[in-house]
Amino acid sequence: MSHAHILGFPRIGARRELKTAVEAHWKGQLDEAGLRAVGRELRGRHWALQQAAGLDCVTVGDFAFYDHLHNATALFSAGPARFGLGGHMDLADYFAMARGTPEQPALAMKKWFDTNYHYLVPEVDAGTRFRLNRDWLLPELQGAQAAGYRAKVVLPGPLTWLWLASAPAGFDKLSLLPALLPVYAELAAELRALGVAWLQLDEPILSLDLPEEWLAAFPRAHAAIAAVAPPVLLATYFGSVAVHAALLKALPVAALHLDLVRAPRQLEAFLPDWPQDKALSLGVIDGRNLWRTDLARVLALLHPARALLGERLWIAPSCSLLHVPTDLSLEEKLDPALKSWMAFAVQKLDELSVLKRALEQGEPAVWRELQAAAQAIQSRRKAPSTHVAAVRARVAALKPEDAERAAPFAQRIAAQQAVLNLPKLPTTTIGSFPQTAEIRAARAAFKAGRLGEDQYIAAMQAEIRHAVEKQERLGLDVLVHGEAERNDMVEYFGEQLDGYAFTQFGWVQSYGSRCVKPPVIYGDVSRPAPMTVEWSRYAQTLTDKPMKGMLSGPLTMLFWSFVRDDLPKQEVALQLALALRDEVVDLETAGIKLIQIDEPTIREGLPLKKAEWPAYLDWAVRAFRITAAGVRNQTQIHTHMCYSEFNDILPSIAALDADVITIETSRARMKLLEGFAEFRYPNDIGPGLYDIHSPRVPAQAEMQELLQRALKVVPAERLWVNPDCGLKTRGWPETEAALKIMVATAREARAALN
Amino acid sequence: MAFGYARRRRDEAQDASREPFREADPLARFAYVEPAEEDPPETHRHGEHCACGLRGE
Repeated sequence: MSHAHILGFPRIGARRELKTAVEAHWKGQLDEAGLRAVGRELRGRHWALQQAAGLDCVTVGDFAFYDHLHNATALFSAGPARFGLGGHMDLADYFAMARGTPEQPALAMKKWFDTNYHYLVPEVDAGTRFRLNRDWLLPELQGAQAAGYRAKVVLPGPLTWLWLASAPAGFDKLSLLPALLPVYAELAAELRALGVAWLQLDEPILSLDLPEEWLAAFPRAHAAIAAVAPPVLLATYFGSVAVHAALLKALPVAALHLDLVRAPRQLEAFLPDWPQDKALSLGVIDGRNLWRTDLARVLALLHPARALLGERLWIAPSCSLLHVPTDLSLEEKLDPALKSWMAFAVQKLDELSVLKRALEQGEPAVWRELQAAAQAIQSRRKAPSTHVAAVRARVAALKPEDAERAAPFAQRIAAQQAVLNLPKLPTTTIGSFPQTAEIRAARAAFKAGRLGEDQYIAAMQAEIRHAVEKQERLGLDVLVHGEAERNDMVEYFGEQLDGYAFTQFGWVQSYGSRCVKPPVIYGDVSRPAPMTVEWSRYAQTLTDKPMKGMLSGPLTMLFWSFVRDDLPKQEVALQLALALRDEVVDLETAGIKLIQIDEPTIREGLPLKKAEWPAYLDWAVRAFRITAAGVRNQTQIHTHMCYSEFNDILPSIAALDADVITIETSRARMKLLEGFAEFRYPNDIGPGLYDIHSPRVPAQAEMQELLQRALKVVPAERLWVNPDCGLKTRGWPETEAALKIMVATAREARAALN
Repeated sequence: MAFGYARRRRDEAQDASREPFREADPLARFAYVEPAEEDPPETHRHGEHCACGLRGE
């Protein structure tokens, strides 16, 4: 026997049924019983798939109506006191905390490690108490057991839950562990009494750089739980935990899961002397990407492990399948060859089943399936689209000077100012203007074929005229065309690049009921034709003021896509950089004098371990610089980044050498700028002067105060005035009102400076 | 000709066999239907993210 299992299954449904049901519930169109029925049906379906694939147990506890970490918060009655519930949460409270109420803002949301899934951040403080709420998890377990399934229950581990929580400054979250463990133990004992086969405790924080005191807490935390629990599987994923091998081997758990997709070499630290009384679960199928597994390669890895471990060898995907779409068989429009290279969650269950049978019955028993997998891998390797000679040659021919502007910033900015003749504290916006219902309806009609191309172009040009007129009336110094034609900052470009494909049902949960359908980079990337030039050129014809061109950068295009796994990411980034460089050069040729390359993801791409940061930042910065460096000194390159703690990567931000960087800083009241000042950031900066996340229009005094704070740390000749981010989520009334005040604020400050 | 006929019959049989399941499928009515206009961009603020960072339809 080889135990096969999964760490979790995507919950949203192959056709996003959970989204429909949850949103209908929020609108009052589906009552709680109806919503729960949909949840039961989805869970039942997912368990049936696991059973049909021959897995040794089904995973219970991976389902959530909004977020699995928030489920744990509900299970432990640990909702923040500000909601006034004494921590107890029913479903209505659960959604209230997730979405906010008129009185209380929602729980904060953060990226789940380095994935594009977002979790709700628990809030803890000295007053936090924990109490088991049996309305959560246990009914789901009863459902699985009533259906006759052998259940493995999954929960976030206590240390991961605490680590991910937010706390007041100076409060030691670890001090809550003694209060939290008894509740885990109470639940664990109940699970054992109920005959649960396994308890999977996810501790992905082990892939981070953890302080000693947190590492030291692992033995006592897991001893307290394991003493009363069903056999415990401690699951790690998203990176290597080899550095903690001694600690993990000694933990009183019955099994350990390792992510061998992200960190294949860590097996060497565990396999040779793996304790005789523990199972080792090897995550060999990629839970983060949608490519078909090279089963022959995986079996070559598993056979020696099997020889050493025997039945103590478990096989699984690398992490929860939450991060991949549900079912490839629904795809009807994908090229058949490309489709044969992919595996969504359902297909990954099949792969697991084949591996299990190969290990148990020998490879001849699954000869046909192994052949099919081998053929798909071969087809992908040989496909002309995955090896485009011209693209490869161009990347190979890159020289150091391709990443260098012709002159240093001081010379460039003088040349740019001679052309642009901008006032001090120039005003601009980040790129997008309100995406009105009319714009979205026009785009949807064009996509569905109900609106012809000429009509669509005319509709978008009318929107551009509208945006330009408004900006001229407002008196902004640098205009934008408003991005009416763009649905999404990655999809819009991906649709126009070779090497990208789009699925129909490749949805993955981003947060709550919201999903993304990341484009798929399957081949070598190139740009067959200009993508944004005509829109920008048209916009520039409408005004004498300079029009800023706008495109997404190579890192953003990379991190918000499913990326091919047969080429290093940095190679794909270089291909993207060259394709986008062509666009930048074409914009310049079309008379666009300022070009913004958006990179909101540069920080998102940071590896989980700090030791791996320099290598990443090296290629990330190079990719950006190659994108930007094809233009003349007179052309001004801007970049925009969202709210992030940049201070620890400021040398790399400076190394991007963008002429102007705009950043989101208003919520932190310009605090972020202190780091830029201390670092003596040399180029121009546009710190956001107002928060675009609410329709609230700040008073001029409020904006002036922020601008003056910025002026204290940034020289006036280096400072720009702009909102925090794009304005696509706002309506026109508040956009016009806020921009009017922003322009007046800049003029007032300018007058004072002069 | 014969092959085409056989294939059509097989497809029809498969479709027929799927229909009762589809009708009995309690999730069928929850399959997400794209609205006539695209979903509006997210407007409520969440944690660390700005309009670029927090994506999803």
